[in-house]
Amino acid sequence: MPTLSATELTELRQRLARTQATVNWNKTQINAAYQAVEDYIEDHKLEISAAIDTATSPIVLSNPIKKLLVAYYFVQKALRDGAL
Amino acid sequence: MTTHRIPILNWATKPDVSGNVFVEAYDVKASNDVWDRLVTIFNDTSTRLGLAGGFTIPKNYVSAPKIIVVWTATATTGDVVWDFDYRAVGGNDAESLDQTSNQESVTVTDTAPGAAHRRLEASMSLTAGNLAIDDEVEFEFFRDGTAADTMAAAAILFNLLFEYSDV
Repeated sequence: MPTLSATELTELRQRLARTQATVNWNKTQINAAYQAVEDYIEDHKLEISAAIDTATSPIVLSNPIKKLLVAYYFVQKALRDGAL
Repeated sequence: MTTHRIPILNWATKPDVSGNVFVEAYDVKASNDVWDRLVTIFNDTSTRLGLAGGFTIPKNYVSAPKIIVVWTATATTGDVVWDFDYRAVGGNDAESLDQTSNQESVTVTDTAPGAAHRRLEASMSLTAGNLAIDDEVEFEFFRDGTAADTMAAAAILFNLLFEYSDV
């Protein structure tokens, strides 16, 4: 299971903290949260890839395109109203 | 006996080249866009971020030197580790301003405010005998983002003060 590097975690923490008027978590807690998301995505990325292939059949999107697709989806989803 | 405090951030202040220490208008991080004076931001990283500078020891300095850190944050949990490395250089044609090491390194760990943007004050005592009237103090002031620094937000530096007694 890949571990997020210190540099990757720094970037993620900074991006999140900049959006908040108040930050009520510490580095250890938010690092663990990001690693949990990383672990879940890694565990399920083949399922996501297969679901995309089924949806786009007969064309098969490349892996870099699938990564961007999923990334943009999550960015938009985070900005929509309502629960995650 | 009088205790004095003088600001030591001035024209000689320079952030390091990391890109994670920089001057910013306070209203970027503040919730109410009223006080838009400049502050220095020390980002949340896992490294040691520095701000270099210098000041002169005043004519009425006698004892009890300290560095006072006035800061705040949007975070309400976690600790910040502040370090102050310095060398005091005195005399006329006697000592070099280009020495290879610091004279003393002091540190303090301070906790994030109970509510975002509350004024915080942390102090570090210096060795009194290291300083003399008219000395040029060369310093580097750090946020040490390694293990003991747990605050997951930028530290907002409002002021850095030299405190001393005239007795």
